[in-house]
Amino acid sequence: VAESSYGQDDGDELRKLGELLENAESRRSFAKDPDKALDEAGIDASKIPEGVRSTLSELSEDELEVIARVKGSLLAAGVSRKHINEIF
Amino acid sequence: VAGEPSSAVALGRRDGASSASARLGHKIDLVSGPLALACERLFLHPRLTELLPTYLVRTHTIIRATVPLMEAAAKRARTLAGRDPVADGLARYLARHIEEEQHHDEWLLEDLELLGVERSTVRARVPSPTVASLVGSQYYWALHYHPVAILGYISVMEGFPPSPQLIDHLIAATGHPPAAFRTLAEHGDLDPHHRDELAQAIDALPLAREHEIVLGLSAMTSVDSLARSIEEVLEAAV
Repeated sequence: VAESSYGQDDGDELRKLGELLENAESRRSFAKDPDKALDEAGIDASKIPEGVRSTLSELSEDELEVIARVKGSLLAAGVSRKHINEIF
Repeated sequence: VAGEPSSAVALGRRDGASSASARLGHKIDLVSGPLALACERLFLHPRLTELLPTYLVRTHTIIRATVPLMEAAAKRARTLAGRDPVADGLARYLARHIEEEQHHDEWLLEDLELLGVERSTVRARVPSPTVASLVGSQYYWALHYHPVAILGYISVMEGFPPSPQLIDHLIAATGHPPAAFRTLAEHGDLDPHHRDELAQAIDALPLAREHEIVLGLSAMTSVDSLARSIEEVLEAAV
């Protein structure tokens, strides 16, 4: 079974980020100022993979809500397109 | 690219240098993990032989809507085209792509017949709410917001072409005749080309931020629905 390519620390921060995005108010704050929202939530931005961070920082509130709704999407984000293409 | 750890700290917004199709691809990557895991569970399932026809029937409920959905979006795009350059470019892309997607649902019915599933059985099966949500949301966005949303859906549908290795695995694991995998094999051949054409079409459109948002919503919700659809096939086997 595929596993995330991220380390334990990355996984912890991604889990916290996933929890942050579950809250509508937090999503609004994140969409306005991602760095500030992460800082206020005590999330170490350096442990969020760059690709995940940069993509999330471009999303609208509605798009962030989809991310929050797709259970485990951030934790499984290390199961990349490369992996899915290997499966297919 | 999603999934590549980096030592960079700042969470600054992109400078806009990447293309719209690349940005859409990154959004798809962000939510594709659960879909990858669902596919893996299905294709490595010990009862794959029994599950595969169920999965293909489910797939038919999706792809039989592809051409009618694109035709509806194209019609709406043509209506808007005179005053909307995005709709104009979309209409031209869809006119080409509709031709490319014709009769794929018929191929799948033929494949299912080789697996012993009559086409009347396929057509009688009530489509799941998940599939209705997947396809129905595209009609909503196309008819009641902007038809460009459909390019997010197509990006997902063309985004994961079956590899020859996967098809070989399916044949070996199920014992089903190779001819029953025609639709998957054809998509494996055609989708990479279609994916490139689609990326070029997206990048040629003068997209505003709102267009890119609805493309992202369309694509990410499609990935989520596809993952749930596969999970439902797996749950039905328990």
